[in-house]
Amino acid sequence: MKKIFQQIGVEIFSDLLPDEDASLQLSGEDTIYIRYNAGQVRQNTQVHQYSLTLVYKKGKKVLHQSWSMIADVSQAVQEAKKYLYFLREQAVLIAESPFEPEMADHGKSDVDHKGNLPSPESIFQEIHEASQGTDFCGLVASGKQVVAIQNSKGQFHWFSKESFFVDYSLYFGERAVKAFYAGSDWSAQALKENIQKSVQHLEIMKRPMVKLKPGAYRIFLEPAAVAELVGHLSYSSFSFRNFKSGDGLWIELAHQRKTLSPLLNLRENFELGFVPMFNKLGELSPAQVPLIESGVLKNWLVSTASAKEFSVETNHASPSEYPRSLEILPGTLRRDEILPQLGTGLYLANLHYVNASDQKSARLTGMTRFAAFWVQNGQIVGPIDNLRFDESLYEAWGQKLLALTEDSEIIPDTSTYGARALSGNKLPGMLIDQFSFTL
Amino acid sequence: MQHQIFLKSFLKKRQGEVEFLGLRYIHENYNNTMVRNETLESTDLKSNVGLMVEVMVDGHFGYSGTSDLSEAGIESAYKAAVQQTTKASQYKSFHFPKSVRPAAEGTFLSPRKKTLTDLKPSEITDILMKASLALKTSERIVTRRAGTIFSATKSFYITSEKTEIEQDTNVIMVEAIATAQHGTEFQSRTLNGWGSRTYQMGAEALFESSLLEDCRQVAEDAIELSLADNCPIGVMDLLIAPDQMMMQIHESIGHPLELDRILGDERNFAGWSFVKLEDFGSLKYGSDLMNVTFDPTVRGEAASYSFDDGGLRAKKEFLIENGILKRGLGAAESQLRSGKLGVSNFRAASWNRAPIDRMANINLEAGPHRLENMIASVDRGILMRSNKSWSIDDYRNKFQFGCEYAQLIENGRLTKTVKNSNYRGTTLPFWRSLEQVSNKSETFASLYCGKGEPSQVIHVGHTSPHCLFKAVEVFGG
Repeated sequence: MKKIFQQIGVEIFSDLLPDEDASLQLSGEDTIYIRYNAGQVRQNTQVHQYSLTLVYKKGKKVLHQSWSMIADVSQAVQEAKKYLYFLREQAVLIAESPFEPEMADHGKSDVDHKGNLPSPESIFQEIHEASQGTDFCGLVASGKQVVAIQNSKGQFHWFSKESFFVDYSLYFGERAVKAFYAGSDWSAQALKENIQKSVQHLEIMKRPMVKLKPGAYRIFLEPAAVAELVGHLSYSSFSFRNFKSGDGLWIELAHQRKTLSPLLNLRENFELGFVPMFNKLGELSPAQVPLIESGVLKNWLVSTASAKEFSVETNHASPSEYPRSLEILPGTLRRDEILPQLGTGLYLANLHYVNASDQKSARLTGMTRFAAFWVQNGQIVGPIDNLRFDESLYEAWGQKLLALTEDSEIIPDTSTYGARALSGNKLPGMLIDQFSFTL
Repeated sequence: MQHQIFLKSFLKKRQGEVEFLGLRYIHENYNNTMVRNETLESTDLKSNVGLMVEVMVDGHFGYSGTSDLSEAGIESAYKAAVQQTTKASQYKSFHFPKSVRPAAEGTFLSPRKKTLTDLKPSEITDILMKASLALKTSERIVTRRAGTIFSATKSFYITSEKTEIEQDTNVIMVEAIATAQHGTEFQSRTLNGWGSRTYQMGAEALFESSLLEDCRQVAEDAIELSLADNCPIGVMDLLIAPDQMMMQIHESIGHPLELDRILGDERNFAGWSFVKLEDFGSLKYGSDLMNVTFDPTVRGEAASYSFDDGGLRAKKEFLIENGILKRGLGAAESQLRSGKLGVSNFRAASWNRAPIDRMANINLEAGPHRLENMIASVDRGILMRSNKSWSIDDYRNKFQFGCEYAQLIENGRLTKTVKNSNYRGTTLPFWRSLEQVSNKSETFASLYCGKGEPSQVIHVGHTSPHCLFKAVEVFGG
C-alpha cells in the first residue's frame, strides 16, 4: 500500500503546473468487526477500505476531492489524474479561500506499529471460551489502520498501526457492567482474565437496587466516566476559531469571568501514541500542548488557517481544531482511599449521552449508566436506578472538585462511525462534591 | 452499467457455493460546501464507492465490504466473507432461513429537478455567499455560516434469490447559522435546528425563493435571543413546534421501538429499551391523539425508498394507533427473532456496513386542532422551537431537550421571547400528557442518526404537527 501511495504521489505531483500545489492523503483500514449479543455472534463484517484525498491549490483557490482507492497501481494513478484534471477545471470557477495555509514541506516520517493480532482462524473460538457462561455483548475489532500524507513540496508522512479492541458489557437481567480489552498484543488468556474481573464486578450489581431521589450527591467518577465528559469537550470546546465565533464551553473561562479548580490540568499529549504526530496538513504538533493549567485556560487549539485568519500563532492543531489525544493529569487520591473519601455518595463507572444544556455556564446533562453504586460510610451498598445529571463544569471541575486519583487510565477511542477511530485519552478518576442530579 | 454486468457474472459464477449470496454495490457522490462570514471555508467533494458481499453459511449471515473493486479485490472480499462466516456460524446467535432475503425486483428514483452534476461548484458557493450576506442584518451578528451537503447515491443489489434492486437517491441539506453578541452573551439560531432542512430533492433546494428571507429571520431571531431573559423554571404547558417534535419523536419513539434494540443487539452501545416484546398490541404509549407511522413512501422526505437493504418492499405502517403500541421497527430478521410485526427498515449506512434495523421516516400524524386555538387554550405555558441539545437514557426513559428559541404563552397569547429553553421528562408519562395536536404538519430530518456496532450514521425523516403537552418541567440557563 505504501508503495502504491508513493507512486500515485510521484505521478500526480509531476503533472502539476508551476503555479499549482497539491497534497495527497490516504486513510484506510483492514478490520474484522464481530458483533456479539448474549455471547453469540450477531454479525461479522470484514472491511477493507482505503480512500485518497487530493487537495488541489492554485493561489488562494482550494478544492478537496476524496475517492475510494483501488489496489491496482496503474488504475489508481489513472483515477488520481482524472480527479486532478477535474479539480483544475473546477478551480477556475470557485471563490478564493483566503485563510487556507500555504503548502509546505513539514518533513518526513515513517511509522509502522506492528501488532500481534488475533488469528481469524481462532478469534471466534477464543472469544467464545473467554465469555462462556456470561451474557456478553459488544464489539470486537481487529486489524490495521493507515493514515498518510504527502505533498508537492516534498513532504511524506506515514503512520500505520495494528491493534484490536474488545468493547463489551456483561448483563445480569437489566443490570450490567462495561469494560474493554484493547492493545496490540493479543492474548486469549488476558481477555479471559479481563472478562473474569468483570464477572466479579457484576456480582455487586446483583445486590438489591437502591432507589435515590434526584438531588446533590458526592460522586466518584471512574476514568471511563470522565471520558464521557471529556468526549463532549472534544467536539469544539478548545477550538480557537469557535471561540472567536462566540461558540463553545470555555468563553467565560477565557475571559476569566469563571474559574476552574487548581487541581485541573488538561493537555494534548501526542506521546500517548494513539495518533500520529502529524495532522491532516502534515504539520507536526508539539509533543504536548497544555490547554488548562491549574484551572486556568493556557492555550486554545489553533490551526494554521485560524492563525492566519486571526493573526495569532499556530500550534498545528488539526484543521477542525478538535483535540486528538487529551490527557488530564493525575492527582493524589490513592485507589484504596476512593471509597473512604467518597464516604456516602455515588460511585459511577460510566456516564451516557452527554450534551450541553447551557453553553455559557458550561452546563452538561447526561445519564448514569452501567455500574453505578450507592456507597454509604465507605461501603458499597448496591446499584442505583439510573439518574440524570445537569451540572456546570465550572462547578464540578471548579470548587466542587475534591480530588483526582493518582492513577490514570488509557481510554482508547472505540468509536467506529464509518471507520475505526485513531485516538484516545489518558484520564484519572475524580471525586466531586454536591453533583446535581435532576431526574 | 459495467459494474452491473461484472457483478451479475460474479454472482452466477459463485451460485450454489454458499446458501445465500448478496452483492450490494454503492456509489455515493458528495458536495459539502461551507461559507463563513462571506468567505469560502471549504469545498469538499467525495466519491465513495464499494461493494458489500453478503453470504449465508449454516443459517448465519456474514459480510465483507471492499473499496477495491478490481476483480482481485472482489474475489478477496468474497473469500473473507465465506471463511469468516463459516467460522462464525459455529457461534451464531440465530439460525435464519433464506426467506429473510425474499426475491425482489424494482427501482427507486428520488425526486429532483437538478442533479449534483448539473451544478458547478461556483453556483453553490454563490448562493451560500448570498445566504451569508442575508444573515448579516446587523453588526451584532458576529458569525454567519451557510452550508450545504448534497449527496447522490446509486445502489445496486443482487442476490442468489433472484433479487435485483436499483435505487437512485439525491439528498440535500441546506443550513444557515447566525450568532449574535450582546455584551458577554452569545446566542445562535439556525434554520429549524442544525441539519433539519434535509430532503430528498435535487440542487433546486438551494434556489428556493424563501431561503434568503429565512436567513434574515434567523439573524433577527439570534439578536432577539441575545437580548432576551432566561427561560423561566417551572411546571407548565409546553407547545412544541414541528422542528423540535422531530427530535422528541426520534429519541422517545423511534429508538425505543427498534426491534433489534429490544432484542438486545444494542445493549453495549446505544442501549436497550423500556419497551418489552409483550408490550406490542397493548401498551398505552400516549394519549388517544397519538398516531405514529413508519412511512418510507413519502416523496421527498429524507428516508424514502422502494426496498430496504434486505429486499423488503417499503410500506407505510402504523406503529402507534390512538396511543396504543401496535408494531415495532424491525425488518425480516428481527421479525423472525421476535415473532412480532415489523416494517421494511433493514438499512446500511453505506457499502462498508451490514444492514440493521433503522428508522426511516417516522411521522406523527396530524390531529384535529388549529394552532391558534391551541395557543389560546393555554393560560401559562411556553412554545419551544428548533432543537439545540438532546440527551436520553439507554432505556429511552428520562430525556432532556434544549431548544434554540422559545416564547412564553400567557393567558392564551404568545408574549415574550426567552433564551436557553430546556425541558425534561419521562417518555410514557410525557406522551400520555399529549393534549392537543395541530392539523398541519411540517417535515424535517436528522442527518446523523447513530447506531450499531460497528457504528453507522444514517439520515431519517420526521413529519409532525405542533403538539401541546400538559404540565412539563421547563427550565433555563
